[in-house]
Order: sequence, then structure tokens, then C-alpha cells
Amino acid sequence: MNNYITKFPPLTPVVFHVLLALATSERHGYDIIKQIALDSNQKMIVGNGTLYGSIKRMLDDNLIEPAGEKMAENGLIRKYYKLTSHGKKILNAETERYLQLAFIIKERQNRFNHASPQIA
Amino acid sequence: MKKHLFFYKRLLRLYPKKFQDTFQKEMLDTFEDYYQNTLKEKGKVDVIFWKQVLLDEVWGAIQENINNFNKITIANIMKKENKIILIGLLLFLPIAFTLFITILEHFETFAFLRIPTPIYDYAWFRISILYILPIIGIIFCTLGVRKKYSFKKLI
Repeated sequence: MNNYITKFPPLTPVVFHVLLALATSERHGYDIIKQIALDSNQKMIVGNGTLYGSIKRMLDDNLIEPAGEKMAENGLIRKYYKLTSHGKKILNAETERYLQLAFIIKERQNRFNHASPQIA
Repeated sequence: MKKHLFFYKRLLRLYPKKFQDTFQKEMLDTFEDYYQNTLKEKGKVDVIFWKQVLLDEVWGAIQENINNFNKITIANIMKKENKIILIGLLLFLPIAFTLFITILEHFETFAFLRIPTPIYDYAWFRISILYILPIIGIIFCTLGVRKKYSFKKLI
């Protein structure tokens, strides 16, 4: 795992959120957009152009793969995507990196809040 | 085809050809889902919706074209439409060179770069550099870009 953290640079927020959206199930384009909005508490609204630009790069990097065409909840046929095993490892490594960072931020915040004022 | 899909399909033509071939159908489907969902939730599709779509697509197309440009190889340049654009751009070189020299002529150090007066005095030389070559260049560039990005279908 640590090997993956050091080997790959941090992911862009969109790529991370797409991986996170695909972590639990296979999804089609609009489903990914909705899931990202939900995960980010409506803070991150990804447009079509941004999404498919990221999907293209993620396919090139073997992070995700097509999961075939299936019927979506609206009854129409849509193309689905899923994580590859490499994508899962990257997502785990990135999540680990975020958790480490969150721990450091929390620790620093505590120290900052409890620090005695400096005398100039 | 519905009007909104017709318009969106035209927007997708801003993307590189290869990108269009791979993702056009999917992007149209996703846009249709987004459009129908917005219509269901808000009861109408307003200017803000189209502004977001337009900005996102234009920005996405710029990024994809830049990425595509970075992947240009000799084999790619040798493709017919790229070759036409390249020839068009090369035809601008004399005018660019002339402008460059004109600027440098103000500095004595670069005097050796001056175009010899007898040649520069020929009217055909000036006319070809300033008018004919750039006009042919513009025609070549336009033809190449039209072929590459299917502009005749966009307009």
C-alpha cells in the first residue's frame, strides 16, 4: 500500500471522486455525476465535459474499465464503468493519503488552538 | 432529433475527432439524462443550465485539444488534414520573418540580417510576402481546419 502512495502522485479531485463513486458499484455517466454531487454535499458539480475528459484519462491509465451496456433506472440503455484492480489499489492508497493528511491537519489544528500566544 | 440534443451535438464537434468518435454517444446520453432530470426537478431548463453546459463543454474541449496537440507526432503531422494546416502556417513564415527583420533593423548589430535592398525593392517580392503568401496560407489553414474538425457540419 505504502508503495502505491509513494509511486503515484496525488489524484485530481475529479478523478478521486469518480473512483470513489465507482467504489461500491458500477455506474453510468449521469449516475457518477449524481454520486459525486452527493458525496461532496453538492459542493462539487461535475459537468459532462469534465467528467468524460477524466474518464478518458482514467481509461488510458487503466484505473477504470467499461462494464458493458445495461438498462439504467430510467429504462434506457447506458454504458457502465467499473474500477479495475489497479484502480482499487490507487483508490485505497489515495484514501490512505487523505486519512494521513486529515490526521496531520487535526493534530496541527489542536496544537495551533492550544498554543500560548507568542510574544513579539 | 430534439432541439437541445441537436445543439449539444454541435457543441461536441469542438472536441478532437478521436474523442468525439469514442465518447459522443455516451456524452449525448448523459446530457439527455441531465436535461430530463433538471426539467423534472425545476420544471424548466433556464439560462443558468445552458451557461454551465456551455462553459463546461468549451473548457473541456480546450483541454482535450491541448492534450491532443501535445500528442502530435511526425506520423500525425503527415496526415492529410494536418499537412494542409502545416503548409498554411509555413506560408506565414516569410511575413513573420520580414516583420522580425524590420524590428531588428533598428539595431545596428543585426544589420547583416537585412534583406538586400535590390531584392526588397522588387514589387513582386513585397506583394508576394505581404499579400499572396498569407492569403494562400489562410486558405490552406481554413481548408485544413474545416477538414479536421468537420466545421462544415458545425455551421
